[in-house]
Amino acid sequence: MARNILFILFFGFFSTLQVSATVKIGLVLDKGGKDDKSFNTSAYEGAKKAEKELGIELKYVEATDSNSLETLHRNFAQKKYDLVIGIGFAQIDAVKKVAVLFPQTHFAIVDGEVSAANVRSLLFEEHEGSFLAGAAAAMKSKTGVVGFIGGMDIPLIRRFQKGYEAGVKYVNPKATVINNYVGVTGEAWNNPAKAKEMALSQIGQKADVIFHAAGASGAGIFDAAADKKIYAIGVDSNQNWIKPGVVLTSMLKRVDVAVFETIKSVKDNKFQSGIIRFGLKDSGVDWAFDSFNEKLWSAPEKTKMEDIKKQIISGKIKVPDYYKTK
Amino acid sequence: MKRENLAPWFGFLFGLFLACSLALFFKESPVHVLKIVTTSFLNSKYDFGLTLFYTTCLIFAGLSFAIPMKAGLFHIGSEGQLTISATIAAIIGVSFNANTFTGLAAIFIITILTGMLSALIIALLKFYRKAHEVVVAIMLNFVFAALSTWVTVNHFQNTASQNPETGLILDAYQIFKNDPIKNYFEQSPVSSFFVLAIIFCILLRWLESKTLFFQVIKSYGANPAANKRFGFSELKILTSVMLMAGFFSAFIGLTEVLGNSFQYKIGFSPSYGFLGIAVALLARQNFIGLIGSSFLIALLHKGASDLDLETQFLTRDFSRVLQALIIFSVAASYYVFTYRKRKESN
Repeated sequence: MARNILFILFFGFFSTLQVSATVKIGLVLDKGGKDDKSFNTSAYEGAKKAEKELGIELKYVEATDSNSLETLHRNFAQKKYDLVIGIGFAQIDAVKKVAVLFPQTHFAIVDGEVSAANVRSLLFEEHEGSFLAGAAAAMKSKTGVVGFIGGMDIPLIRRFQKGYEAGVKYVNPKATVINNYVGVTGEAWNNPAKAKEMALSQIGQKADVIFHAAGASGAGIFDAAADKKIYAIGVDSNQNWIKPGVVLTSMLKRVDVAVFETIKSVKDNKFQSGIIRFGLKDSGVDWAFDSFNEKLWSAPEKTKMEDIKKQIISGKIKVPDYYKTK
Repeated sequence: MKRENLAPWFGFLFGLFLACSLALFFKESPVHVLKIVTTSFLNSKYDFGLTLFYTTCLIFAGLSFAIPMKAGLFHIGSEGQLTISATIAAIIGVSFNANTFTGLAAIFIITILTGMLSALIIALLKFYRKAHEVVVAIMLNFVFAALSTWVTVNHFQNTASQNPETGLILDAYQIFKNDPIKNYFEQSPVSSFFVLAIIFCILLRWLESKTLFFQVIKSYGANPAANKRFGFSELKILTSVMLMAGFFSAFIGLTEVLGNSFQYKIGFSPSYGFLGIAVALLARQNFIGLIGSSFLIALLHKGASDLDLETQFLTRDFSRVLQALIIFSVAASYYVFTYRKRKESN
């Protein structure tokens, strides 16, 4: 009996020791939430993968409003989390403020630049990926008209649009691009019904491939494309599986890889601050080719895509960047 | 205090109890949930300050709903008015270069005018076109949101940021950065506007008991037709309550732009306009009671966002459930409490 108690005590002591030794990761998701099948889902999956493979302790939260972001970061830091990851540019201010107050805690921010000794900024070259999406659209379009539907009308999404337009014109200089934005408020990320109407209207104007950068609103565009038997292109996560045969490809933004690598670096004690850019060359941005869309692509078309990708990486093709040319 | 006036508070406690017991389904202890929701503001001075900041905005939103309610108007247009006011405040703060005093005076006056005029539309449409205030307000909310976003993104976008927001207002106008209240609460969002909000509540309470005007408004609310017969101008009543509502909505914009973020960020409001309805109903439009109910709703709003962090299975969506249950039971409580009275009078 006494031995049992001793054993339990010992085991209990041991297990608490173990808990305190695991690396604790806090993930602050954007307002879209972890089930947007797009940007936040990607981040969440990266962190989940790290939880499974690296044995870290993961806690994720979703912001209720922009003032609560700072509190969430603060609370994570106060609870002595080793790494706090902010997903989305909306959290730049929060990370900037909190990182100064908690110099011992590591921070990471996706889609934003914060220069501090304990912050890693993870940026993506979205225009490069969008260029590929544009090339794919132009290659597959029979009418010479393609569409772009953005979520909220903000600089980040304009960057997608500009890259996409350039990609379309690269393959088919005569092609027309129809641009629409779902809305001007945050609601635009989550309004599939309106997105579907826009897609239908674009199809009415003869668009036969539509690329979306509209978060959870994208579901409506996939619906419209399936109804009218045209192609759609997904964004952020690999969305090929959502409607196989309709989703031509997805412009991947590997937030999951960025998140996973950052967590790994903390786990291995190799965390470095500074800006890390993910582009085509390190597959941080890419086009998705898998079992769900392989039937849509012939071998020469696929080769052409890979060829364009190589040319962008080598610098032969200059992709216009909305941030720089604005 | 009359018996019915206590009803909402019982409803509040009942709703809170109900919501916390729901946590059992998610394998969380209700006591733990209750503890987080009600005490999370004590974590640090910063958290306390944030709660007071929400309180400030909710007092203004509550006033903006409560005053038209006294005249029988269900005013849900506060959200649109505060959006356009905040935008205007930020735009003037960014582009009007003057000394601190002139600049601040301009920001205050123009912002308040914007809020009042945007609310006036509702009153005028109601009077001249007999349009229902709820329908007009819903539409205007969207119109103002779209207008603010368009102006912000296309003309005043902060070039240093990805966020859809205006640039920071000029340094000269950022006097609330060194506000004693803000400093005390570790630079949290709260500012002297909190004191102002409370002063407004007391002032309104005093005006309500001393002036004839408020009695006229109330009698209009009780019976518009009779009120007209007595010779009171309907137009005057409608416009004055809506102007007051717009005045207080504008203060939410000022609280945010001058006291918190020093810029207009699209989507800064966690729908204060709608939380304001709950605040006002909870206090039964009593101006002093508003302070208490604002604090309670602020506390829940703050606590609910911490639930996500502190528990394993509850997410931020639970905060919506919590608020819904509380509003529902507050509404029901009044019915239950006055049941016997109504039965007798029948």
